[in-house]
Amino acid sequence: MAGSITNKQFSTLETLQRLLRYREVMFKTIEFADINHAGAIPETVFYSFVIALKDQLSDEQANEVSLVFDVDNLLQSRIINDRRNVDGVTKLLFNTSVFEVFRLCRVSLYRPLTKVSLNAAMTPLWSLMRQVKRGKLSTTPGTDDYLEWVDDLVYRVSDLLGKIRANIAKLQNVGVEFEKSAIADPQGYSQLEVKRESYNMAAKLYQREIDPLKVFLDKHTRYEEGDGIFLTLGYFRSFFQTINDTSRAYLMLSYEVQYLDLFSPIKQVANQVSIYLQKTQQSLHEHSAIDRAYSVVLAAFENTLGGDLRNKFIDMSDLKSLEVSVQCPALGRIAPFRTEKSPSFLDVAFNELATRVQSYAPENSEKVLLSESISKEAAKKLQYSQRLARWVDNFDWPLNKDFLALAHKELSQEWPDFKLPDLFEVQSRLINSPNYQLELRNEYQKMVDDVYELQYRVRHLVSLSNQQTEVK
Amino acid sequence: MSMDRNTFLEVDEKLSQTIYRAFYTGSVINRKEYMTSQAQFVESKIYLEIRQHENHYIQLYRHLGYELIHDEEGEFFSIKLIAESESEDAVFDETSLKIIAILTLISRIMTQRGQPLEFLGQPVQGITGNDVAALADEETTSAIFKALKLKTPIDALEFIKKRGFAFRISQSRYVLSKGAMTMIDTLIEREKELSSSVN
Repeated sequence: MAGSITNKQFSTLETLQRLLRYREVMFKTIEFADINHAGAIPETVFYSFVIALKDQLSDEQANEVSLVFDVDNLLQSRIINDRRNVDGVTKLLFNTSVFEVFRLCRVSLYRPLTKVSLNAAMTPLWSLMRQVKRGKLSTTPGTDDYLEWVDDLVYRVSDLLGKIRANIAKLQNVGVEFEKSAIADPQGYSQLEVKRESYNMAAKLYQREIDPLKVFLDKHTRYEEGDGIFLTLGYFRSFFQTINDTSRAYLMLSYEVQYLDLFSPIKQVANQVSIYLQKTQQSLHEHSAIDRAYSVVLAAFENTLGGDLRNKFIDMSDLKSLEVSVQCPALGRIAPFRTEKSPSFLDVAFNELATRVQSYAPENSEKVLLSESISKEAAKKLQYSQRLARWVDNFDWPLNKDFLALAHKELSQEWPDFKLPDLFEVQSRLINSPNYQLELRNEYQKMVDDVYELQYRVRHLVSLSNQQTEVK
Repeated sequence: MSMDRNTFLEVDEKLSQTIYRAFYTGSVINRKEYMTSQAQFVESKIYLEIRQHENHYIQLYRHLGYELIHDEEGEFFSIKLIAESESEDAVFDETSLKIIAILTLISRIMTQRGQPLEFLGQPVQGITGNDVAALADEETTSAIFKALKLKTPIDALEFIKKRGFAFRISQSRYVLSKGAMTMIDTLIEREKELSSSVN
């Protein structure tokens, strides 16, 4: 019936044939509807799929596609139930039976059977069972009433069987994929995030689809609302036996066997996925445990990267958070040497050495000798005190003045890190100076800063070279 | 030691010397050692010797000032100085920290590739020449080894081998001891606890 495409509209059959020929559009439409949990999809989205398809076709085929996927054509051929404006967006409502046909054609489009949908499938069966028990349905084989409800029962049982089969096929594919990735070591899995995401996906699938189906297909399952599929089928089988409808009793038995056959594939899928989950979870733990340990090692290493040449090696105490309860033998280390090797002992020794060496150093040397062997703090203090000493030596001290007040005035202006105790150092330097003598006055002064208060007796400097006399 | 019997007469003098030498050189004594000639892990004679005369060796090393420790999980013996006071030196063991740092760097190569860490303890897998090359190629890792006073990844492997936490299988392949695997497991268990306390 194809051929001429001058006709604007096709029959339902013709349209369906063409939809199947250009099935990618419908697949994409169903995927979109599933992702958005909506039966209706925006017209613009639908046409973007159509246009994408047309780009790949010859002109003649593209023309045919335009006619087939035309909304009016789809409406009159009952592929689309309705075209409706929802919140300013034009949406197309597809006929669900058409969707089901396309779902059949692609495993990935099978509707997931979750706990909820399995429950929904069981509800009519439970309702029939209740009515049979209460004697509300005909129990006379051959009557119309009897045939009606029995047909309904058989339809529902076989429909569910079909759905479950389809889903198991889908899950088997997924299971094999996960099993592969549990064994193999593809580069793509090296990223922690990717691994975590895939794990979450599998966990969700397991929880939402695989496990409920496994429970559903278990022989002994009973739900809160009623018996599981086997017990239900078993009930109907014995019911048909009691009323001597042997062919229906046999039919029920054959369904039981078919359902039973599905248990081992779903169990296999469940095993594959749970092995994947276990392995991946272990691998996730391993990955993040090692990443965490590495960050400790890296931080300890980064501490060695400063300008300080003494820190070439990692300080083992930085690794303390990695501590494990394992002890390594320490027999080789000889105990009596331990005190002498202790850091505090060595610090004291080196500070003393540095200070002594410094006092022999050339007067204007900025560099602290032995600075590599003492702590940074000690080196800084030593440098400061040296600078102060140089300043005292080079300053032009006026005689017969309160030199502490003068030093305070000068230093607090010039030196940002000046503090009152520095004045003691100034005084002691001047006392030891060969050029001056100190002269005590009967006068008291006070100096205050943020931290200290200094009360002192005023002293004057007297030049030794000019005046050899000793003043009290 | 009991008054009526001299345990020194019961133990194997040669093995006792071997045990002392192992401890003296800083090695633990593993239950299983990798034998290149047999290409598999075999039970260690000296480990069995200690197990058989455990009380004797506990006494012996206590007299020398050490506590003989058996690591149940890692299946090895080690000794620890009996500290007179809980001084700061006794609080952490530098060597074991260095070992765990090395194990961390090695394990990272595996986890980055998505390989299970148990491979490190299996002679058919272990740490291969490729792994060693990968460790050396990574700039930061290589610098960290140097900051741990180890010139190369091979030095690092030799360091843990000398202390009984790895064995050399062939020219360029090593395998970790059960003790080393236990150390790694400790890190993983700690992580599991952390993640379960978060969730």
